[in-house]
Amino acid sequence: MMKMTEEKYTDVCGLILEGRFDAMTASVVEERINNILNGGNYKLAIDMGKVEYISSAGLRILLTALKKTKKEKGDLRLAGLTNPIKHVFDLAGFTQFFNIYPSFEEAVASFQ
Amino acid sequence: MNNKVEITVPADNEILEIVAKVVSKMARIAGFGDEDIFNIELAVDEACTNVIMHAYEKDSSKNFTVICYYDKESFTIEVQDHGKRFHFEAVPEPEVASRIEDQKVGGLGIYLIRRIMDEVKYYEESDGLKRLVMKKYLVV
Repeated sequence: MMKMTEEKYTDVCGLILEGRFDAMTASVVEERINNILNGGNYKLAIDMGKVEYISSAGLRILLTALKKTKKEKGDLRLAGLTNPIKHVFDLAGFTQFFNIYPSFEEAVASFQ
Repeated sequence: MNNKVEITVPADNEILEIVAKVVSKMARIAGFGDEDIFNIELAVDEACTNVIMHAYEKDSSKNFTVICYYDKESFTIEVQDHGKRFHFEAVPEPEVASRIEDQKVGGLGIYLIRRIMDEVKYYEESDGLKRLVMKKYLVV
């Protein structure tokens, strides 16, 4: 299960994810992110603090979305990665691609 | 003997979490710590996702089997299916690109399995059974 909450700021769109980010939930997260991007929001902050698990299916969605935001001169910034989640990013070699912030507030503020 | 568990499940992403929980429980009993258990759970998830998405192309009327056993030296997980052959050996060792534009998104699951597990082998039997056998050594 994955719970998603969107928060709108002046210039930034925030997305709070809660639950497991695997092949089961990847498609619903992808759809939500695509909706945000299609709405012209390319500055995206994602709170990963309550993501308890991520597999390659989740990583793939985040990387694809990051590429889309970069193409439009935006960015996808991540926040609050717990140690197990950070570990999967490291294993996959993905840490270097993302701007990662300790807290969601910092990720949102970093765009301003 | 209680050091072996075998479960047969439908090729549906909904079962990923259940399989992961069963295998991680076994890994704990076998003597692994939290970090290894998390890794093993991830490797099993990636293997099952491959079967569901590629071997059976999300046809949940099909079943596959996960067998998990251990001894003093190692912990083994076998994922068995009768679906489409997966060209496991053909998946190149992925390189992590230095630029995001160059980073490929495919083959990541296999890459993670190979990084996490100590031995990974793929067999195709004459009756069409495919077996992905993944082993992790127990270091005492």
